[in-house]
Amino acid sequence: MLRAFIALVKLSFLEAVRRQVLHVMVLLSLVVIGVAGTVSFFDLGVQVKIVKDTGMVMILLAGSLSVVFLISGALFHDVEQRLVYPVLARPIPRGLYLFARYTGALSAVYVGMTLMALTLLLLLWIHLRYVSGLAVVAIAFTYLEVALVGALAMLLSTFFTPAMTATLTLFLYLLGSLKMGYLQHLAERNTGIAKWAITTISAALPNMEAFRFKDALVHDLTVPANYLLLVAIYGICYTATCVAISIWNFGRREV
Amino acid sequence: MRLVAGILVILTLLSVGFAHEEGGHAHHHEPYHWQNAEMRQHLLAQLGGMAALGMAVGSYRLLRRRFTT
Repeated sequence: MLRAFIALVKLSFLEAVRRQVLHVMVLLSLVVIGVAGTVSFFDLGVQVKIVKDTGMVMILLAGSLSVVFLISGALFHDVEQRLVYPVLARPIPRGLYLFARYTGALSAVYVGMTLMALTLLLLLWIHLRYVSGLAVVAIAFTYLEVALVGALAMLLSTFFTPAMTATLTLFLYLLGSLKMGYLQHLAERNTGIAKWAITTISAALPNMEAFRFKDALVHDLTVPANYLLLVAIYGICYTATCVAISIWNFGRREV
Repeated sequence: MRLVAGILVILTLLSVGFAHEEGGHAHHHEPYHWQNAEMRQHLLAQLGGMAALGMAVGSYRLLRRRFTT
């Protein structure tokens, strides 16, 4: 079973790293991070803040967009092209197949994100001659956020077509990023069914804001360790729930 | 070329979302999310919800297995 899983992950990974969208995202982000780090308009303190800010935003955006585009079409493509049948004809559970597809695509995105993260850390080291532990922590939580976005895309892809999945995932991602500020404010301003609907949607949406420690990195603030642990547990549990629901839905679906 | 243009449009749209988040801290002096007690409560509530969902599904599967065998 483990051998089958590794073989499927490898296939999914190789398919994902060949996709043009990943190359474009990684190259664009590397150029933006490189330009922010090398072109000097400000004094050193401001320059370092700009490098940290731009680097973290680019790693997050490139990772999230790549994972959405890679995962949203993966299952649909396999079913439409009938690539899934020879695999499922073997004694491989559908859940394992889906999990391997998710892991392979996520690994490919992580390779691209690692390139960006290394560039950012190298630029910080060039400017400051040291790299703070918080930079590594902030990047690690960006990886976790991207895993959650990928799991959400995988979950939606078991229900919808690729275009619908990508659009819905990006929409939910934006709503999840604004939920603590905007949606709660919106719920307070409404009454009746509208308030109930907004509160229900807000309660189910993933809290994307919790994974972002860019401000702490830029302004050199400390984040409590127990909060980091809470967010890590939250991210892992939410991702696992999304993957579990997608496995359940793919298992009962006609292919 | 179309891919690059599409990605640039999405990056611009997403940056609006992030700008809103940044603006919240810059203009209203709101606490950062790791200083916000409401955020912790929200995360704990969602974790509780996921645990309840997991327990409900687990018990359902256990009961179904017991009655079908």
